[in-house]
Amino acid sequence: MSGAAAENYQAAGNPCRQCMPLGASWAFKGIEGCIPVLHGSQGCATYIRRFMISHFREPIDIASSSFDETTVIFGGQENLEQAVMNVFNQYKPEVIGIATTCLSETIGDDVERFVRELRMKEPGLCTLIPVSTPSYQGTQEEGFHRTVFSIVSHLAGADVGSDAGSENEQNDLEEQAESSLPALNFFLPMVTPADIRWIRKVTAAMKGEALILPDISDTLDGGLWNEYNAIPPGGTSVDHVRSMHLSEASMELGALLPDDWRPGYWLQKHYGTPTLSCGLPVGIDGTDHFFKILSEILGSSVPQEILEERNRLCDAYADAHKYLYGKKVVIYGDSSTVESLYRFTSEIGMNPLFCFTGSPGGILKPAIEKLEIPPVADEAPLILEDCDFADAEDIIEDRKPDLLIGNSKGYKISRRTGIPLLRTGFPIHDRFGASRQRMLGYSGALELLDRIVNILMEKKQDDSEVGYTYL
Amino acid sequence: MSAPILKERNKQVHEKGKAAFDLQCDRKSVAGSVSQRACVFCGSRVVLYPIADALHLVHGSIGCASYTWDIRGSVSSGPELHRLCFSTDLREKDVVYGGEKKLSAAVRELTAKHKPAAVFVYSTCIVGVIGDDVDSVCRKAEQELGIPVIPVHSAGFAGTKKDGYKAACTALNKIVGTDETGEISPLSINILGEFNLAGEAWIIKEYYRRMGIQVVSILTGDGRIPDIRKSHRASLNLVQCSGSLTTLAEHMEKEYGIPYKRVSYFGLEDVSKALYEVAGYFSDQDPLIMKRTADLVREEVETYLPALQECKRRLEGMKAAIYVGGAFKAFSLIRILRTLGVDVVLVGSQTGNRQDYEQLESMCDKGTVIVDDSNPMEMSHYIVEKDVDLFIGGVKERPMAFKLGVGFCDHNHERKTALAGFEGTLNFAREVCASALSPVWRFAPRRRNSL
Repeated sequence: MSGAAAENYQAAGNPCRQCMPLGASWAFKGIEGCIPVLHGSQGCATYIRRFMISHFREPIDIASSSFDETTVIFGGQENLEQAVMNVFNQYKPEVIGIATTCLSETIGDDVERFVRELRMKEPGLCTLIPVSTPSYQGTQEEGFHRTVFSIVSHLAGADVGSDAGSENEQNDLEEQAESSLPALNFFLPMVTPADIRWIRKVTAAMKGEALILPDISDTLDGGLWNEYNAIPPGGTSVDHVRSMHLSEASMELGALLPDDWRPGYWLQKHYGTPTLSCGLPVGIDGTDHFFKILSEILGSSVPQEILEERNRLCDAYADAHKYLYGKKVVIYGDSSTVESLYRFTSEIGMNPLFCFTGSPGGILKPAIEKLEIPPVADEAPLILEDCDFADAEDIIEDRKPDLLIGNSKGYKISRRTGIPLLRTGFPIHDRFGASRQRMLGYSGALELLDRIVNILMEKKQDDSEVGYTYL
Repeated sequence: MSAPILKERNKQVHEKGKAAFDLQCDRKSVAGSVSQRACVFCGSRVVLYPIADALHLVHGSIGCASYTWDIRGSVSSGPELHRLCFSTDLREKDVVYGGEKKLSAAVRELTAKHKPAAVFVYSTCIVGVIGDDVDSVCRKAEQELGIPVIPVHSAGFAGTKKDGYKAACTALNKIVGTDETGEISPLSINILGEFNLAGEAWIIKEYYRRMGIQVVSILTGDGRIPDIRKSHRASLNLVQCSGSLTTLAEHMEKEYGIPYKRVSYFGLEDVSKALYEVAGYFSDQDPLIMKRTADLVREEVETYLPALQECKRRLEGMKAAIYVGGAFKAFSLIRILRTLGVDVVLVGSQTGNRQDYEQLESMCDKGTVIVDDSNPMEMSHYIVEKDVDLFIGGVKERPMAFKLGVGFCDHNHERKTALAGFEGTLNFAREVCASALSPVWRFAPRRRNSL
């Protein structure tokens, strides 16, 4: 249904979003030793596995409490307990993340209580983290952020919830934190494994240690295995999450959510851990701002190597500007990706005249309106939330952009209109290497710039009757 | 190391020769076992999905529609309505106040825009729970719009994927038998359980054309509502894909007196057998049909056999694992692999029944492991234990194989290469070669240490 574009339409056509439990699964996959359990019908887990596997090309095990008719009548407590115990015994996890679905929410299951009771019954169980993610309340994006928030609010600090470590453990953690490099918490939206690796690398180069939550850089982009790993190695360790309140500060990148859903804000409120937020470091302005904050917190300067990267990017901007100026671009996907790409395409002289997201939450529009970016075009861009491809298609045809930037699901429009599509974000089901795509930092911007320029050049060359061999 | 099998699943795993055969199946998935099955909705959706002139409207939260948008490789020779994704996209207020009005409006607006020959309304998990009367909404819309508007009761939790097949058959049954016009040959068939992945239905249809047989309808590959309406006037039903359309075939036998035969079009052996069986059925009415069929089979086999033998030379001695949706396909795969010199050491399915597994057991060698509704923990264990070179399955099994340095061949709904018929058999053999013989596997840590 869809937003301002077509108030009268009741049905969604070709949706530009998935459901909340997918975002929850994504977040849980970034915790070390964690396996997600979706509390609902078997299909939710299986469909989400398949959808994510086609993007990441990695094993993605997600369990289900496998509802049947009697579960729907009598409630899902017994099924959830059986699911948790079976996963615990078979996978030997450190954490089981439990996300609800539309079904379990609609029948009114109190999963927080189920988890409390199960912990009492089975004291030897691993850490359990419940999160409420009814599909009808939001998209994968909201599901993801809610889950990250839930992970932090369940684990961080000593006096919160029964899952926090003992006092001794806490002391150990404090000592650990003091003896090593200053730790920084990073909360990012659903970015690629390669971009997460970049965050870790530059933080280390600035003499800090990045605690990134969630960290899918290995779990969803790992190597081949000698033996089968029930749970892929990698991810943020539970201990690290527990000690997040002891970090120097939290950095919330691309946090467009209200404060209530921001884990950094929560840590600040409960433990006084300072939190700083800025947009995702995309493009020169965005990345400059990021490094300025990082330098201030860590008290170190930006290394020469990174400054050289920056200069190379400036050079590439100069080389590329003629191919880009005024080119009309349509950007779609999740809110934080769209907001970042709006900034980036504006910075390189393109005209992002139409941006849309399937996310309903009143997040994208204010975020873009808040930006102070001198526009290339006189006309204000059209920003739509809760918009699906069926609605967007008419607008795209009307505005005749030169380029589409977004996930694979816009391909049908690209194919029909002949407008090239640069695939980025999630899901990417019809191209290779989604996990290795870069967007963050000067190096990520350079990669993105190269791809944008090349796709425009290719289009120009293919459409030309002359067949220029110099462009 | 013993296999990591949940105690509830002990009887769903069997190693031939280790104990008497008593495999349990037809059970709901165990909570916490990472089953490769989806749900009732999935069963209905896969069966009805290829009907290209119908509008498929998913009534529920957005996820169910999103995850099944253009998911299969079922191609159409004409309209492509099935490749669009429609959902009533229920929101919190709908969950509170009900979704009937939204559904009713959605059916009308989408019908006005897309002019479908019929509408299938899939009710998903929460629809029954919030109390929507989908039948009544559909009935009213049908009267008003003058096209079939058919509810498909496919709440995910209400059984297994197999129950979804049944719900789809019930829906199809409402269309079957509603058109008596036009001539239909006495030598006529319906092809059931063939979904036209990568144009496979067209390959099979062409064989029947050469044999002199009219194909009245294909259920549901490249499917059309007007054809399905007439399908009750065919003389014989041929059911491929064991589980999904047997219910409809049984019903058509009872209601319209159309007998059915189970066939498979995978592998030279099985496809020849299928064509001969059909020829045999019609040979009283057309004495020359047997000869035409024999000529066809000979010609096709002669065309593809040499290349298949070349594949065999290269694959001989390899070991394969098979995990598929319906067990019937596994029979064919075992036979094809055997003709390619490949042994099957692990075989299983999501929805096989007792009979299927008994047949599987009788086909397998000693030591072969048979699994029902398996999961990654079990399968990965046997991949290593049995030292598998090649895995044949669907997308969800692929990364498991790759991580362990094992070739993988997609024989599921998403395939983009035709694997059915005589030519499909060679395509399959070539896919097997491309999967198992790639030089990249020598870099797998299991086969070679790193630096």
